[in-house]
Amino acid sequence: MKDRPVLVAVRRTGVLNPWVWVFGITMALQVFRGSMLDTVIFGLCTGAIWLSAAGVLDHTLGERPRPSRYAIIALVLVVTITLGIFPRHGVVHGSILIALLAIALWLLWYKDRGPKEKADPRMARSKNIWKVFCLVVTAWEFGANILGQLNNSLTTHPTISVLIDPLLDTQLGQAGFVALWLFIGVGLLGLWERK
Amino acid sequence: MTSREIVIAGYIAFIAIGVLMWLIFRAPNSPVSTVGALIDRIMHHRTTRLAVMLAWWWVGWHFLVNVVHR
Repeated sequence: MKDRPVLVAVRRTGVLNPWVWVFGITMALQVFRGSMLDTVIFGLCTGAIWLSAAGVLDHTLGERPRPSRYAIIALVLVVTITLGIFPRHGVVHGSILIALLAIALWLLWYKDRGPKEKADPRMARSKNIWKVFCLVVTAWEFGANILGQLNNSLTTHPTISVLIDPLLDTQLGQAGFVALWLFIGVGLLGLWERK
Repeated sequence: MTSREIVIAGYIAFIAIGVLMWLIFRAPNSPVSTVGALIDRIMHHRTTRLAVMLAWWWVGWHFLVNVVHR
């Protein structure tokens, strides 16, 4: 069945992309939280995702960068040690996080490898199960956040941040978090695979 | 049970369920694809890659640069 021309035109604007809505709603939640900086960050992220979904930046896409494994290991080690040693919330962490954002954007900004194949039944099941799981966890976290704000208390309905942050007060906790966070980033970008 | 304990119990249950599903789906004869294969698939499109990596980056920013009120 062919899509209606109006729907095609609206889709081309990128506004129907679900990620635009996910980040837009998260930005609204930051307004509700009263966090100015996070509102700006999520606002910029929403704008960037919208531009990407609309295809406005397609002419800037190149081939997929393939950094060597030695370069990845060296970067992860240097960043883990630096972010693990220096105290949090300082200029060092801010500068490195901005540099890591630039590196991540460079690594992810490449042409898609053709149209996505239709999911087989195993993949479709996996997609649906994890989608429901993520939605439930997100609803729980958002619920805790909203109830906490309404009760004017961070302890009666603690968010994940409120529970995890104290663990990062120790040197080991901070270094462990950085290592795990970088490990997840490398995994998500598929930097280790050599296909 | 206080509301705080219920919320925390929920988080612990989610972690346990998530790890359990991850392990079960890794079995060779599992009727569900592995998390690795799923991530490989969802990172196919540029906009999804951008959204997922921005969310990942924000987690780091939130805990390491921002001050979490607690």
